[in-house]
Amino acid sequence: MKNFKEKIIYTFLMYKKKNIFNSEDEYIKNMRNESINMINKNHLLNEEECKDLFEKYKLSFNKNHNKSFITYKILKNYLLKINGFRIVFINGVYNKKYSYINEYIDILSNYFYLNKNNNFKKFYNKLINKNNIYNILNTAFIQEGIYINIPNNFIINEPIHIIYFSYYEHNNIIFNTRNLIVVGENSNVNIIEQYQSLNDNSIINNSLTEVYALSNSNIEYFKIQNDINSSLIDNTFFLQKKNSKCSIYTFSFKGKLIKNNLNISQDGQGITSYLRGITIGKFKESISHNTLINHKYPLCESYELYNNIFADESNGIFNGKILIHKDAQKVNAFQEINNIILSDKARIKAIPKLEIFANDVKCSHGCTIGPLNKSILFYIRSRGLSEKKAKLLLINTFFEENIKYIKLYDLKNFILYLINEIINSINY
Amino acid sequence: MLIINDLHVLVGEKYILQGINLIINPGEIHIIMGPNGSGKSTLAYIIAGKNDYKIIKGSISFEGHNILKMSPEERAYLGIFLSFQYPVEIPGVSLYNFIKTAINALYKARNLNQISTSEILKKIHKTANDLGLDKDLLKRSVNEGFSGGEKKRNEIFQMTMLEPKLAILDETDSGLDIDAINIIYKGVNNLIKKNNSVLIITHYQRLLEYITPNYVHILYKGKIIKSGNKNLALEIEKKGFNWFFKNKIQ
Repeated sequence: MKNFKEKIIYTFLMYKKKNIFNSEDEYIKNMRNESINMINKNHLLNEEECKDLFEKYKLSFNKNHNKSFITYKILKNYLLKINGFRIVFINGVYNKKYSYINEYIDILSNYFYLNKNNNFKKFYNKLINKNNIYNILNTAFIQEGIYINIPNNFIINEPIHIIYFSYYEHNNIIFNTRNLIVVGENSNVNIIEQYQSLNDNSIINNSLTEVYALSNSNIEYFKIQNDINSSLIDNTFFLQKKNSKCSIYTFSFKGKLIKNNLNISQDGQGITSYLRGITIGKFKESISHNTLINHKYPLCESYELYNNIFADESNGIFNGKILIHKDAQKVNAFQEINNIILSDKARIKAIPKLEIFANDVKCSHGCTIGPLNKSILFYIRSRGLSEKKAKLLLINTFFEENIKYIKLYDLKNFILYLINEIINSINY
Repeated sequence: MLIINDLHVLVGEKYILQGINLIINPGEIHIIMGPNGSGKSTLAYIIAGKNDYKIIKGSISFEGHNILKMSPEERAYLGIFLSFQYPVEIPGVSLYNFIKTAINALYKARNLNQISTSEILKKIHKTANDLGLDKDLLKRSVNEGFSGGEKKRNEIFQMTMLEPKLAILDETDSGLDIDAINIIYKGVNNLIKKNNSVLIITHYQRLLEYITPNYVHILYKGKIIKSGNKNLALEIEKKGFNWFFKNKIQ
């Protein structure tokens, strides 16, 4: 029995032997080799945790397990009825048939082979945390993903919907998906990213996304995590340039284990970042959020609002770090985490961390954890609403605090539909 | 209609109610007066179904149903309504939606045909108009940011909309100006006209200038120590609650 490290290296060498990486650009090859060397030599962050998680799993690098039994009829239930662009992945592989894209959206791996796009190299693999095992693993085994490159002065009203379906015949597979998104100066874009498993086989998505918001750009980014028995490790890095505005919504609805690592780096003045989240933990699900907001420049703002509920034996961890550098004066940074616990066995741990080195900033955090308010429930029930209805009403209004900001009408309805479906099935 | 028989209630280790007997018939107005801590609000909550209390002894029946084992919503279906002393805020739920949902829930539970949204809307506007409730409040979250007076008006508004068979007004008149008291009068009158009953809990006899009760009861240390008509309230005003208690002991 090989240990975790040996298993990774063995798998990598096996792929190499099969000449899978052969035709790739040197730049990509080096990146893979460098990552494997790091795994081999160094002690990496979260290695222990990763070992437990991945122990039973096999790394996937197969481009041809795309079985055609997944019909449009099955998929369409999960596809947003919304005009816009759609990028469909099935089991980590791009599906051309169900996708419609334009010239600004391309498949990431296309850039691995052609040494033509220097712009790509300027951005790719620059934001990741090179001490983090999930990041390194993703870089070594990256298989497929999407590259969105919006030019300057472009306003795209129709959202770009990236959807990852998993319908796997075998259990215990790890997919390493990767995205690179560059939004040009003064441009405007809505991106929806959805993880959706179609059966309850157990797989892990170790996903990594790098997003660049250039000057004066505006990005609305929605993450919908709706896997049944699969796990998701989501590593997302935003680099924001001056006067850009990014709103990132994380909807963690379903998943055996979900780890959200969201990292925002503000690189210029006048930047605003909104981080909004809704988490619904149930059964034995384990959902964590690690957020880092790096304020490096003055006159910037960040607002975090996460509203979470935990039922059954679910558990959650919220690590929220705000770092304000010495020169980042006149920064407003606020973090609010609200948690409702619906069962005695549900757990949530909230760890806010503020590190402030500037002396003229407004920065605060707030955290609430508790059951639904009994007095309010009694009031509502005394007017004739059943206990369940009263609870649903309160949960809906609790989530509304975040949902009200969604401007895309159809998306909002879709989110509400998913929420209602889930909270109706929860044990109260 | 409502029969409370020898009700003993414990909160923690303290007896809050020690043998309440009360009968309210259709179309009657009862007023319960009593000093702070005498158990008035506890009695109101227990009738409405709050479960923070331990019933040691006694029973409450409403139209022949033993209601003590019923949930708050089941009591609402039977027609019991409590106007809260401290109405709670429900952030994110507009008053309009709340009242609409409540009416639909009550109609459904009573197996009545659902009334259309436009009919409910019409009734909401008419009632709000009659009671002088600011129309803006309908669009706002229930009680959120309402003034003390607006919250109490809202209770009367909900009461009028839901048309209960028995309305319990827990100090709805406290802290209200004369105009607002007039609204309570209107609300109570609307119910009585339809042969419904009202139980009013109050500290003041001021309300008696508008409302003529069938009975006035004095609740003191968890017991009804005296019942009478309107004049009893005036007597309390003159002599204070203690006087009645001492006289009762003697």
